[in-house]
Amino acid sequence: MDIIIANSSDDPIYQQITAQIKNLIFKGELIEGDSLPSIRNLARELQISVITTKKAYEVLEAEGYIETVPGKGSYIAAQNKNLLQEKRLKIVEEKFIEGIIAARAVGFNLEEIEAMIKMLYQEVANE
Amino acid sequence: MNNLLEVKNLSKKYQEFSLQEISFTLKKGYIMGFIGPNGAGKSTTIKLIMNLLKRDGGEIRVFGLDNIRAEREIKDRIGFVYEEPYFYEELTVLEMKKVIAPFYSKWDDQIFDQYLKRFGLSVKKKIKELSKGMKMKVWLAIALSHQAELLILDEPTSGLDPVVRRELLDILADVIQDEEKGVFFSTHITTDLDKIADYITFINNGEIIFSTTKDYIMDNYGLVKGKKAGLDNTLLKEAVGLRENKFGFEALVKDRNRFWKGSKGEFIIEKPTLEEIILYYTRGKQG
Amino acid sequence: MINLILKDFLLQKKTFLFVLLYIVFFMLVMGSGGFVAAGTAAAYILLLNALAYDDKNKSDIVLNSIPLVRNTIVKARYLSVFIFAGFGIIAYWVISLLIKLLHLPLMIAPISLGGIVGILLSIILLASLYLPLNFKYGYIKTRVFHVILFMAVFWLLGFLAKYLQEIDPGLFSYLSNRTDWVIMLSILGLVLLIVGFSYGISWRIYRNKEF
Repeated sequence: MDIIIANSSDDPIYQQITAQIKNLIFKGELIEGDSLPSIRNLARELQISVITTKKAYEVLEAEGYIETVPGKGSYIAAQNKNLLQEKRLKIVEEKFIEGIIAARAVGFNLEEIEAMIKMLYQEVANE
Repeated sequence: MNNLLEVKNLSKKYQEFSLQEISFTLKKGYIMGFIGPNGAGKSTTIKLIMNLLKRDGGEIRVFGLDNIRAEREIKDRIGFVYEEPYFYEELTVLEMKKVIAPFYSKWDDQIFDQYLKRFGLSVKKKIKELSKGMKMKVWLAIALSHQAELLILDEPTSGLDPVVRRELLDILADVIQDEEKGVFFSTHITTDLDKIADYITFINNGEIIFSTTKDYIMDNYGLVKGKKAGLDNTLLKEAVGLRENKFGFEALVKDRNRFWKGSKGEFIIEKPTLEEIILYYTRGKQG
Repeated sequence: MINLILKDFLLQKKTFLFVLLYIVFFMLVMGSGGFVAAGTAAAYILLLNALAYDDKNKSDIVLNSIPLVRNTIVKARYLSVFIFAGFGIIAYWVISLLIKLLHLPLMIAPISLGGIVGILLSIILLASLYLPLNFKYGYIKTRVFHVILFMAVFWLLGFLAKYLQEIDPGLFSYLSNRTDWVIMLSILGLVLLIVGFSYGISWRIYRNKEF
């Protein structure tokens, strides 16, 4: 499990952690029952505050991504397949929306955006 | 009892300086950074906790016990590292251990030897023959060899190179792994704390400016930079410190999110470092 | 507490050699008073030197940060005086034994019970006068007293002896007619009183000291 913290990022560190763990779940790299490092262990390894990792785990738990068994540790919770798919879809949508807003800001219309996506898709597929 | 250290309305008066009813609390399992410029009252506070100075008012509780009435028991459970002095410089590391160890009820020679080995320290060396970093490590080894529940470090890293400082931070992170121990760490080198501190207590001129989680500070305080024209933004009235230069200004604000919403993109807003926070607080709103 | 005295000895490994030389010097120079002078000087040098190390290393800060109560530090310091005196006496004994074994043609003062009492009395008087000053002002600031006190105590003891023998022969013969036990006990009582008083002052000073 890789987690990388960017000190220069504007996002709070706990958000960086939750986002990365969620991503690992979406990608299927972390699956139900996988155990997570302890709050203190993660803090030590990342050289960050215990409070930060604690908050990250609390958020993940509240959102249903992980489960914490007192005295045992934290595990990846069972994910509802449909829900997971929905969440993945949502992430894709968010990225597109971001792109569309940026494109519109410089005056692109729908056709131009579609053309651009087609071109970029080809490029990525060829890589 | 979850509080390792409770300081309540602590005061100490001197002619030219006084500690003004300061309060803060350190819980088990956490590292608290105690920051502030030189002369702000950091050492005075630590000396009061250790009963090296007599308080004029207020209360200090360590492990829930009064620091004077239960002095000996408390000190048995505290590990300390001071910037100076180092005890008798003429003694060897081994002699120093022989003198100090019997005072601690839970002294463990094995742990001490492990740390000496880890630090590459020879027991036959006299303290005065050691480098500053090595002297600090001898004390760190002593502090960690008697099951101390609270580590009190007074400027342990000043004058040390980044490698040694990093080593210390790694050890402190290890110390709090079991959730029972805590670290109270005074320093003016705040980069040590930017990473590992859980709580930050900031003292200036004998007053506590804030004592809160580092995350709160990092998620809320902001360094605002902008053109001179932006100076009349009313939100800047709440700035903690403001500095103008020929081409613009920089200010420290307590709530960068509010500032974000209230401004129309004319500013750059960044996360400040602890050092910048100290700087802006101590300099105030000078031009 | 023993550890605090152990520390005084560990620190003074080099001083011991110096103290031995001092003892030899007093042995040779002082004639019949050599034993008392040598023993007292040895104890006094060790005491002052121990205090110098304390001051130089600002040891109070560390000592008061480890699980120790302040009283122990004061007690250990007073106790160390007796141990330094014991060291002086034993060192004197060893040196005189050596002189005897080597058949050196030297006249040296023999070790006597009276001499031991004399050493204890002088060093206790010295320590009792000096330690409160040291606890209050530290070693460096009270340097000027080191020699003054040493001279004063010897002058005082000499004067007392003279006073008893010459000026007030009545009291002297009165004392001489008491058994050794009575004299010993009265001296012991006097010494305890002086030490107790001095210790009380030192403790009062040290208890409220800030470092």
